[in-house]
Amino acid sequence: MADSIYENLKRIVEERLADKKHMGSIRLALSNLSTRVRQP
Amino acid sequence: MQKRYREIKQEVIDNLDTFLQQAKSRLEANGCHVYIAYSVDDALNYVNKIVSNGSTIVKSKSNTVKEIELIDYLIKNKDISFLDTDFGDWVNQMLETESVNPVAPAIHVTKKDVEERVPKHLEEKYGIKVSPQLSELVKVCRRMVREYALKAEAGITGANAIAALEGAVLLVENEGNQRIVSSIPDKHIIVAGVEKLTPNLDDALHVARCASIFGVGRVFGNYDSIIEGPSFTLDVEWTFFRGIHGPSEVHVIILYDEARKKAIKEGFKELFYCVNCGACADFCPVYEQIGEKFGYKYQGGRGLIFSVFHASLSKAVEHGLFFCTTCGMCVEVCPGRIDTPTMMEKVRSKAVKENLYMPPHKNFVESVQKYGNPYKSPKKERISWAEGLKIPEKGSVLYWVGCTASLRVPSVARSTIKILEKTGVDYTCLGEHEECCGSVMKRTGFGEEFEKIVEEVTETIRKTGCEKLVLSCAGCYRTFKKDYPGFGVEPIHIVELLAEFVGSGKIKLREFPKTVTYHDPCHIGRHIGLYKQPREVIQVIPKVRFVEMDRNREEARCCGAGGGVRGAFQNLTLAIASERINDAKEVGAEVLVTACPFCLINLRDAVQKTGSKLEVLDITELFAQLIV
Repeated sequence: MADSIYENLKRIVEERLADKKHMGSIRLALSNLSTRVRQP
Repeated sequence: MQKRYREIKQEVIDNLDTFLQQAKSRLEANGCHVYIAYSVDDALNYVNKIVSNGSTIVKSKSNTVKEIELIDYLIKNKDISFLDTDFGDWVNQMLETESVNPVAPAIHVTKKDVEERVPKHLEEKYGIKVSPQLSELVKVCRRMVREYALKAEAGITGANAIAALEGAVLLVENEGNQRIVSSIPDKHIIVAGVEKLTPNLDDALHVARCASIFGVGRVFGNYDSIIEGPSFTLDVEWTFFRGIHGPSEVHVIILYDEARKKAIKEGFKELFYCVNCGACADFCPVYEQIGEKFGYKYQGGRGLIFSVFHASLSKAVEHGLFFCTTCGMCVEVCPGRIDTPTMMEKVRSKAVKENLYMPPHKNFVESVQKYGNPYKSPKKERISWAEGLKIPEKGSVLYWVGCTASLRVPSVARSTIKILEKTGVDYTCLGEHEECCGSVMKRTGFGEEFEKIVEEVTETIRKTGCEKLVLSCAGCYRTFKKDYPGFGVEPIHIVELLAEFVGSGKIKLREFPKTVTYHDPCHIGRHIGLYKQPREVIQVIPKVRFVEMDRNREEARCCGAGGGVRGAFQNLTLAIASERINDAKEVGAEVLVTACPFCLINLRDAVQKTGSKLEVLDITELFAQLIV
């Protein structure tokens, strides 16, 4: 079971690292939020 | 601000039953129907009774509603017509995509995507023709929400806080949809986890401020609503009538299910200090690379730990429990300073006991047990770094080299020796007798195996009679400092020692006319707080130009190697490390200095991968080069 879960997780990582569009949008949004925790 | 927030949450979670009963009786006195759901089914069945077949329902953003899958349940069992009213959720509904972020659910969708695909969906499903411009789509959303709200039987919201003393529900938002959902339909259904309780309204307002500041960087939400009960009028002869403009019924469903009870009982109460601001995910190095795939219903490490209780251990593992680097960035940006790394290690231990480990981690453990290191290197190779060096057999200070410096980056070990020699430290080393400190086991959930290592290593070190333990490895240092209870020997990181030498003028250095930046290893940075010393010592180097990366000290980006991630998910590690290389490039650094051999090899791999010309050095390597 651990092996199959692990293989699936590795696949997820590879897919996501290759998905420039999906992650590009998320990263763009995150960079716009990057200063927000510097609290008043 | 974080301190007060944490105190509020702690008080509530430690006295849940008291505040729950107080909130129930006050809300009921204010005219609300209050239902304490002791299971998800209880909550679903209650809503089932108050929603009519085929009715229209509008909803605003709610994590608890998502957690219990209420909308899917109502569509299936009540054939409801449904509209999500938050613009991000509305976009997701139109595109049939899932939310990826608790604050901004549709950040994975580009403007182009929205403009291309949403008009098609609107025409096909709703017969609405609209020009493909975001500004026009916003208007359609606004119109649809109003139309749906007017015909809706019920509006469903979550709650940002429920003040027990006053019996008041606090809702915070920016769009204004929540006000529509909570005031236009005849029934307002509020679904919230029991952790949303606060002792009083003052505390609830503090919670709301935290949600807003940490969520979107605003001191308060654009709209903050305090709801105490159904709408009423007394205008004619003081005659009481419910539901004049707002809802005539307000139902407050407070979820206090087994998942919550079990998590609290098993020592995971900090899970419920969460305000759902999403900051933990937004600053998480793993979320930055793989997005919502790091999470289940709730994103990020904390979300996955909670999923162990509301879903299952295997669900948590399948959704990335072992992706977490345990870097602790989430703790820094969390209003409740939820200690996710510690809980992560605890929950990983549970997973390993159920054989839900990552196979490379098991290999490391077996290697440590057989060879005394996770790299499968024969024991005799442990001392190969010292070839040609004359290490004293006895000394009051023991230099703990660590597996990575011993077997992967011997220059760190040799450089440390040079510093110790030059400064006249009375040191010794364990040589072939040094074994792994067990850090890799602790971080990856092999807790029982780690405990055995602690016993063995403690005994070995005690036998030397040393007074101090000097370390050049941040991971080993953190492990001895925090995970070896009753160790009795003082661990000192080499940066502390260097700071002492520099302060006393014991070290003389050559010039280093280069632009240098410093990467804080998580294990001596966020985990321990050694920020000042490395900066002090680098800045005394003659002619050095020291620059800080944008994210430094508490906010430093993790290199991605920790928590067993480098061992199990190399490409994820490299992607994270490449971000750090970019951080250094952005500030014009020629040399990136760190104070951990594990960060060092990871950052060097990323330099190779990205083709960067940045030089990466361990602080020991830098000082060994410069010391006169």
